[in-house]
Parts: sequence; structure tokens; C-alpha cells
Amino acid sequence: MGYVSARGGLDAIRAAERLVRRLRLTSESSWLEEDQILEKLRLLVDRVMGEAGLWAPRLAAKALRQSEGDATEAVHLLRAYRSTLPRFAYSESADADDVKVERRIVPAFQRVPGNQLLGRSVDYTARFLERQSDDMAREEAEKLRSEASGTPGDEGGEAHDNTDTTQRSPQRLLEMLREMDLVVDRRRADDPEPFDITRTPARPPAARSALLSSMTRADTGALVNQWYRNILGPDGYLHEVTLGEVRHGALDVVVRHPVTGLPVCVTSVRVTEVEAIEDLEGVDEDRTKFDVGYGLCFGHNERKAIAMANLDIACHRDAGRTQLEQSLLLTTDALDSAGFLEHLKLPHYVTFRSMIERKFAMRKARNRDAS
Amino acid sequence: MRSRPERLVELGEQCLTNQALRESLIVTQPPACGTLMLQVREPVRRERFYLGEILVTRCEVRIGADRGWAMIDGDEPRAALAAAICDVVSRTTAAEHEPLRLAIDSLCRETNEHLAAQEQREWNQIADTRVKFEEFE
Repeated sequence: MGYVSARGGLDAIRAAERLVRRLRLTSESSWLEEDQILEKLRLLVDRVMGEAGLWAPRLAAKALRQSEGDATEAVHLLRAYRSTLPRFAYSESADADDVKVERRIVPAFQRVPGNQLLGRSVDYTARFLERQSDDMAREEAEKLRSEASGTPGDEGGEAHDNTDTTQRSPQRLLEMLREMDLVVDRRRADDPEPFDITRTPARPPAARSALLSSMTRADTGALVNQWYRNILGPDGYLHEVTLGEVRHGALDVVVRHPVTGLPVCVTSVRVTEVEAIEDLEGVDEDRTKFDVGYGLCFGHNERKAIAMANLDIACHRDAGRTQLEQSLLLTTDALDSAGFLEHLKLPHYVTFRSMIERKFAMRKARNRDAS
Repeated sequence: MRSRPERLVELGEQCLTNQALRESLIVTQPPACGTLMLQVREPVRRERFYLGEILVTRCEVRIGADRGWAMIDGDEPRAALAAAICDVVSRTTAAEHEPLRLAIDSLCRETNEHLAAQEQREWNQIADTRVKFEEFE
């Protein structure tokens, strides 16, 4: 068995591509509209945009349809497309305090400024699989639509006073804790430029802005796993974690008009934001106070934002003692990890051939030694 | 910039019915898709970080010495061109453009009303999910 260089497979590759495309486009069921994906699979669309690091709902819907529901493949498609686009500008710095909430809960405190606003959530709902037929579900949808039409919001529910801005942008718990002098003050006096992970790979020790950017576009599952490992796993940490704010809402995106110099709101994006309160108990820490970690990501993805906030404070307290920061920066990106994993499916004929030859050589040497 | 794309295109086309305006209009940067990096100031350390990019369409036009610019959410080349035309027209001083400037003002008001109505609708849907605690003695 000698080494033989070879080429081929191009026809098979093209046939495989055609097969995927044909079966996707010609399946018996009706055409899957972008609007259906956007409305009925909204959380998946949000997740893909977050992990791609690109807010583009329609493109994310197209990517999900093309990838036949494979979220990581959809992220790959979006990132590949993004890499062809020029970057026109950087937004004005958006203040997280300006998020207009559609949902806001404060698990740490009952009485908080503003409301505990559950919003669109199944957190408190028993998980029963709805097994009614499609016809019954359609009937129910029609009934709900007719009940909603003609009501003040035209979408159901009564008209409520929307003029109190504190309801939509309530004071955050962190401010309350600061007023009570219960939180370590880590506010910076300077204003460093953020680290751009899309231009330069972040390596430890990295600026916190690099860590936050890495986590905000990390794979959701990877980040949850890092958090779980960190809190219960072999890393040996047991944090006393309480969530401060969990918010989902809209954040305005503002740029400077290049002619007038005035701020212009281009659009608004939905984000999920979390504050994680950490009980400080280390010997070198102020044990009379708490510290806070922060998570923010595109779309509605509470699991990710919660993991991010907890890992932000865990990383700060770890201060480079373990490999936590390295793990977060280098192993949580969906495209990095899936890309490396999937490359294993490509032909490794030559490398494996060399491994076989080494085995034969070792066996030959062992037999020679034995005789 | 946040008007509905179809309304922007409508108004842009209305602007272009003015022959003098159409002839003096120069598209200095045709509509093109790109990204806008969103930076956020977080509350813990009050430091900025990049949250991610947003798909936008940008366009620039000129009428004489006046420049018009637009950046629109998503892949909307026609709306971006229309918005840039509206932007430059809103800054011209020619009397003959007055009806167009009024139409642009009207679209801005309409957009603000639309966004406010959308926000009200959203609040109507979620307001009932506010938690009212009962405290036990």
C-alpha cells in the first residue's frame, strides 16, 4: 500500500449539492414564508442573529430556511455573508439604561422601581405538549383573532396608560444597591475604546470589552455549559448567585448624520439584558458588599444573557487564576467549534495513511526486538 | 429614516416628479448594503463594548451644494435612495420645493405617530402581565 496522489469527487460533490437543493425546494409541503419563520420561530431567529453577531432578521430567516433549521449552519451562512459587507459606521454609544422593556423581572427584589413585568414568557407555565390537530389550532387562532379585533390595541387587551416612562425604562436594581452602598463600585473614570473581536482575535488576558463581545456572540449552548461547569462542575466554584435584572426590550440605534452632525435614530434592536449579583466572600474581597456581572445579547435569549452575566463576574473574580477566561474567549464561538469539528469529515486519507504506516513500523520494530 | 420603506419610496418618487430637482440630483454614493457596529455602554463599569453589527443600506446624494444622506435598517436600496433624496430636499431653500418639504414633514409626523401607536399597542398587550403582589399579614 503506497501513497497515491489522487483527485476526484467533484461530480459527487455537485450531485450532493443538487440533491440538497432539489429536495429542499421541491418538498411536498407548502412554501415556508420568511414571515412565518420570523413570527413563529422568532426565538430561533434571535439566537441565530446573536451567534452570527449580525442583526438582520430577514437574512436570518432566509439562512434558517436554507440550512433546513440547522442553527449553526445558519450562523455560518450569516457570518459568511457579513464578511462580504463593508462596515459603514459605528453607532453612538447606546446606554443600556435606555432599553424600553417588553419584559422585566427582578428575582432578587420584590419591591423595585417600575414593575415586575412578565411579558411574553412561559417561565411559569406547565409544560404540556399541545397535541390538538392543525384544524383545531387554526380554529382557535381564528377565534382569538376575532376576539382581539376592535379592542383598543387591536391586538387584544385593554388600552393602558403608556405615558409613564418609568414603566418602560425603570430604574435598575444596581442603582438601588448603589444607593444602599451595597455594591462594589467598579465604574471607570476613563473611557477606553472597545476591543473589536471581529478584527482582532481576543486572547487572554483580554480587555473586558473583548470578553463581553465574545460572550454576546458565543454559542448559547456553549455559554450555558461554561456557566454550569463553572458553578457546579470540576472547576470547583460554588457561587451564591442571585439575578438582579432580567430584561427584554428595544434599544434605539443612533448614528451621527455626516452632514448635519445631529444624532439620527436608524432603527431599534431587541436585546436581552441581565445583571447577576454575586455575594463576595473571598479573603481579599469586601465581604460587606456585592459585586455585579453583566450580560447583554441580541434578541430574546435569556439563557444566554444569564450565563453571560454570571460568567462576567466569575471571570472578574477569577482574575486569571484558572483557565476560565481562555475557555470563554477560545472555545465558545459556534463557528470556531463547529468548523473545527466538521472539518473532521473531510478526507484525511494522507494523514491517516501516515498513521497506519507508523503502526506497521512500530509493530515491525517490536517483532524485531522480540526475536 | 424609520419611516416604512414603501412610504419613503412613494415620497422619493414624488420628489423626482419635479423636473428641475430630478435634473440637478447627483447620486454621489449609490445605495449599498453594509453594516453598522452597535456599541453599548454597560452599567457595571460604565464601559463601552461592541454588541454586534446591524445590516443597513446607506446612500448619499447631492443637489447643488446641498448633500443628502440616509441610512436605513435592512437591505432596502430603493428606500435608502428615497430617504437620501428627502433628506437633501428638506435642506434646500428653493421656494418651488416647499410642497415637497411639507410632504416630508408630514411623513416625519406620520412616522412618529406610527411608532407611538406601535408602542401603545405593544404596551396594551403586555400591561396585564404586571405582577400585583398580595402581602400576608
